[in-house]
Amino acid sequence: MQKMSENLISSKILVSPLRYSKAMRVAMTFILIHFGSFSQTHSISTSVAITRFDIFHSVGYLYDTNRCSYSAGFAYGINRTVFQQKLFPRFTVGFHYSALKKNRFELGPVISYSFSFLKYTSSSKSTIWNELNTGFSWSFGKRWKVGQSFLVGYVGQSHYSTIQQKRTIGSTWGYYTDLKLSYAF
Amino acid sequence: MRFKLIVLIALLFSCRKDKYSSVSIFGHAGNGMTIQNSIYHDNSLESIQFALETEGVFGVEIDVQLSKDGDLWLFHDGHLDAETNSTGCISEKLSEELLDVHYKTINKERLVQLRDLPLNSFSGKTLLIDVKYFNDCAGEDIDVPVFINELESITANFPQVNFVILSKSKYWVSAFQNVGFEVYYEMESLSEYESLISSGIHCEGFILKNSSCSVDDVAFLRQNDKKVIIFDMRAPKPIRQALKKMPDGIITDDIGAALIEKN
Repeated sequence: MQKMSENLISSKILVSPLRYSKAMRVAMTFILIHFGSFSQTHSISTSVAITRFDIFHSVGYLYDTNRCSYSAGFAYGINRTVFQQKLFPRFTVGFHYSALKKNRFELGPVISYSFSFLKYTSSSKSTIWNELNTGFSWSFGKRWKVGQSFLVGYVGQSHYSTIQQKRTIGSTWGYYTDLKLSYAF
Repeated sequence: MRFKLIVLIALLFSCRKDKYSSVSIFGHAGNGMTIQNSIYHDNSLESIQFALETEGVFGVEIDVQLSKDGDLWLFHDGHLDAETNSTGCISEKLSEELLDVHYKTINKERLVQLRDLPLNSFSGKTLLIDVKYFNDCAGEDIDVPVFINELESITANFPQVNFVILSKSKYWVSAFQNVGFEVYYEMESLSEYESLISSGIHCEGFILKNSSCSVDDVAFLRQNDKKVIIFDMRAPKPIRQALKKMPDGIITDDIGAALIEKN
């Protein structure tokens, strides 16, 4: 019994700090990479993206540090909004890390979350899509940048069932690929 | 003056809304066939439920085939190979074998029997049953009395659901009509109409491809007290064209687009 409690104490005192220190090192590395740079820029962007549900045109804001980039954007489905006059909005937030940075060329992984919804008729409840995608993106340029992203991931669809009188949720895989133009100011 | 203008605009918009109110929307093979924005495989239980649960959808078209032991299964293609984890034809499989068959999709939707659809919850909806009359593996016609007997045994329990038979076979049209089913014949074009009438086939309605029928064709059939359903459309533009022909219904692969266009 005494041996067991000693083991427990030692695991708490000796092992945990080691684990924490590993986690701390990872966190510190991330913070250093992120805030260690002096070049922090703000950019605006516009892009055209193909997804499972529509072709979207978006406008967005990007906050760039040396290697990390955070983005937020608003998009609308071209087919539904332009050709069918039914607003199909999509909101996206994302994170990109430039693993490879050479002169004006950047390449790295990207992760993004998107939320979109559409009402088919004025009286019906919206169908909602939540998407979590990951992949990679590249860009080229300094002040003006062009780039592309290729992402795949999860799509959750929430749909109101008129039979069950409640929301039903389905899921599948999704994809996202875009062509982007951004300007840093 | 401003008030009159507002009333006029409101009237214009209300007219636009009511324009296609008589046209019913049907989902093709459930919630559409091979369409990117559908998250379920065609003819699956999930796809059919999704379509019928959507507000404004009148019914669905489904593809029904007879298994070797006389059960009715929902599946579109002649062969199982391309879309499922099995091989061969439905008509050469026992139901016991088909129970383990699923589509090659991320959700792995199972093949479903017509009998296993929750028909009691589809009250007031219409099921357009496209009957597959040919065994692709054996190269011969399916036994129509066996098919009819099984279908009758299912439909008899659900009077609240409207079952309509769709077929390209004149023989099958007559066979289903003789036992009292509502039957629509799939025509290549209106030029077939006269020969059908002269050969004694008087079905309740016709199915026509969107690209092979005009506004006048639809009007002609409706004047002759025939129902008209137009199929083969997925993009908003052909859906709009089909609605303008004022048929009784359209079978679409994109229910969402059709509902937006209709309303």
